Amino acid sequence: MRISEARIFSFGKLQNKTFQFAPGINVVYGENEAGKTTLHDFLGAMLFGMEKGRGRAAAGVPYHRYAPWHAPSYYSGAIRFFVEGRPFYLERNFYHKEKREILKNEADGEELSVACGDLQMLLGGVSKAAFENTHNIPQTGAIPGKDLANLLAEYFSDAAESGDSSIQVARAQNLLEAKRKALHQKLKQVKEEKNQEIHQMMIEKELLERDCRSLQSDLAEAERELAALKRMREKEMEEEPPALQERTQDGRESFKEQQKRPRSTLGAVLFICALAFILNGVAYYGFRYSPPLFLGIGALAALLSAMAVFGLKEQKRTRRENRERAEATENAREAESRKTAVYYGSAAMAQSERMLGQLRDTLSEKETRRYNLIEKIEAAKFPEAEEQVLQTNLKAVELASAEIARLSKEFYEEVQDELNGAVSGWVFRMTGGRYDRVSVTAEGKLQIHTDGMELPPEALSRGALEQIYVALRLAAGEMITKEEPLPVFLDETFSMFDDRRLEQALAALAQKKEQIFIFTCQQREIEILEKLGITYHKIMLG
Amino acid sequence: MKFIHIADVHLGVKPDAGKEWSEKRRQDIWESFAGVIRKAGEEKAEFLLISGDLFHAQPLKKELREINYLFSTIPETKILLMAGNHDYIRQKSCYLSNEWPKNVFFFRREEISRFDFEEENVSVYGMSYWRREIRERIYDQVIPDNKNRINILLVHGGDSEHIPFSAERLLQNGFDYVAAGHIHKGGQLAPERAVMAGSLEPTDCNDTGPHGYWMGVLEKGRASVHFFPVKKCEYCHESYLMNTHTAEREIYEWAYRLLKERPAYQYFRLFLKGRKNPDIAYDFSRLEQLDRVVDVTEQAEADYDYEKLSIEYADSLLGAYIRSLQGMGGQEISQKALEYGVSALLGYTIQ
Repeated sequence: MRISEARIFSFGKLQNKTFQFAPGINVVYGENEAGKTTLHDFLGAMLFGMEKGRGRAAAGVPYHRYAPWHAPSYYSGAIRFFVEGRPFYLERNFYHKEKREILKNEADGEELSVACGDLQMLLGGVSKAAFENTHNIPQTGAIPGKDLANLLAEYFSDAAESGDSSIQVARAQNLLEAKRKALHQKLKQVKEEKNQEIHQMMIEKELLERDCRSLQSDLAEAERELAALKRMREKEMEEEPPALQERTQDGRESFKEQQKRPRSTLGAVLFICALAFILNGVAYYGFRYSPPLFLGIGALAALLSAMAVFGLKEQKRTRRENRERAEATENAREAESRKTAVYYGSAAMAQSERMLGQLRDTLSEKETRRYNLIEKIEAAKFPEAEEQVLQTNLKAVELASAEIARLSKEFYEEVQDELNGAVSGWVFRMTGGRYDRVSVTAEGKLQIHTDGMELPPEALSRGALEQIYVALRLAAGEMITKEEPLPVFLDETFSMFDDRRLEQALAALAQKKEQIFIFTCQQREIEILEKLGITYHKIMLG
Repeated sequence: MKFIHIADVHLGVKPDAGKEWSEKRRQDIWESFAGVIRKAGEEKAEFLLISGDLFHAQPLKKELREINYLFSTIPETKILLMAGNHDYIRQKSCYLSNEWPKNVFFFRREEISRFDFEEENVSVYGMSYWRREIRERIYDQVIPDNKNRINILLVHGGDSEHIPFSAERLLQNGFDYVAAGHIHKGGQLAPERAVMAGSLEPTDCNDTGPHGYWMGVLEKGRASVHFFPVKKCEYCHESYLMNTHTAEREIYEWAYRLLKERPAYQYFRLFLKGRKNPDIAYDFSRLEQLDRVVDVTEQAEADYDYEKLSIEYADSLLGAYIRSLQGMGGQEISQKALEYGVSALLGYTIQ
């Protein structure tokens, strides 16, 4: 492709301007603010279009930089160019509301369509990104090596004919990464839910175990108790001959009677004494009023007195007897308590045995439940269908990603030698043989060899590094534009070059068959071109 | 002689964990078992053969109390019972301490033993599992002692970890009826003479098809047995064939109609198959919330014509990628990776 003319209707500070370009080297010279970069961007926008962009992030894009303040519909221009000797006319209106492209074959008047990819075909399928990373060389034109490696891999992997730029390794990897993350997230969630479930079961299990432990200790205690009861009973049985048992039986009954009898005897005696005393008194006073009554009462009092005396005697006897009996009772009571212990002992033993049985049942039930729970926990640990599917998909994403990386590397390696040869050639020519060999690894790392040594890029001066990057871009560009050589734009690229290197660079560029645009604010390039006797076309701005 | 044959009741299992009907299903399984007991009483079945896995896990004492009661309600029916791989006899198994009603004959040993029933001229052979797995072909070696009797073999197993056996072989050995359990999908292993009972009710959403019990009449040299479904729950796997134009609502309406048309005891796992537009993300959560829908699985393949793509992009990375992945064989992972990679290379968000 060769651009022969640019007609700018309105584009930034350039209004109603027409520029003519020659094949070979074109030097666009102008002072600062003269519009060099504007012209450069105009040519780029003509070839690859220009979008308005959206939102705040769009504020810095060229669209806004060059949009006219008045009459936005005039935000437009046209270029004439040749592809394989055929003349074409391309006109664009950049104004986003009236976006319009006209593409015409000027030889036969055939109307072509930018939207349908006719322009892209004329550009040899080179994408905007590919062009910007190669033939569009600004000052400090370093682009990360990784990007360049990806770009090349992608480019060469592309069907050259179709020029389908939708296949992008980097984008594909991003999409796969997004999917991987989503799957990973989902898997994490599923696992967490499962862990939660297992955790719940573990808590339940621990509670069961605690219950089991306390049941076991209860059980042990109950067993000890029962054993103690048994021992005690056995001892009782040994100590107690059957005779004693009978005797205690008697003793118990008499003890009960005794407790009743003395109390009633004593009461009666006291009652009789009191009555006799009263009657005696009554008889004494009553004698004065009624002698016959006195006689009756006196007799009754005498009788009662006699009864009282007998009663007191009886009382004494009872007391003695009571003493005797108390001793027997004491024995009986002792025997009684022993008997009660034996009686209750057998009941306690039965109850204790019953309790033991219950404890054992409860324990066995809990242990079975615990066992079933353990089995359930083990089963739960085994990944479920959903988890397995997620794992499979995750592996599939990883496989896809690894395979794309491997293939793109393979594709890159195929062109790597060619690229490295081209880069080395350009570096050699531009530095006058200062460096032997420059190569880019498949990982996108820049390697510089000189005097049999490998230098890391950081070891080079800024100027040297810039030269190498220019060489890299030119080499990569050469490979990308094989189908259709595209113009090279060098915007203040050489400002860091010393005169000797600039001379070498321009001499090397002069060998290229592509059209070259050098934008500069210095006379240096022109002077050297003149000095070297290289034909060039000069465009003065401002 | 009339008999009923069941297996794999899995009492205590709670299928479809997390679903609202899960607890109901647990109870239903108990009810179905009680139903079989009732049926045995009504039909005056002389034998009830239970071929293992009556319980889903180790039985609890209180659970055994329940079945003891149920068994005691049909004193005229002789119940032959074994422990399977799920309820296998552990050291402290309640099976060992349980006091069975008189009409229950429990095979408690881990080797083949026999119960004889003089009146009916029947001998039943069987054993219990004492561990979860038994790989030996124990049943193949069993030969009935008295060929004049009606010889029944109660078996549980049939896969490599659970006593593999061949029904033909067992019948050749001289058994008149092989009452098998363990495989949840039931069927006749040999016409009228060897039956895999299948689980009484499905215990997992992958136990598709009808489930129930078998009832038959067995005489020396003559047998007939029939299947009787228990229609409390049946799992169905249904597929919808998607295409690149399928709308979410379309699938929802299909599922809705399906649920309306089918009997209420059917529960569904829905599978979405066919081919789908790789650029469309479907959300099936609404589908999963439908009543009686266990889950929804999307299995539709992205609608790529890999052959066509690999020709179209022959010289490109995409072409090389398709060729490379297809060369890995049709395993699930590489198949999925093919779809993912192609989507990514074509710039689609991967669904």
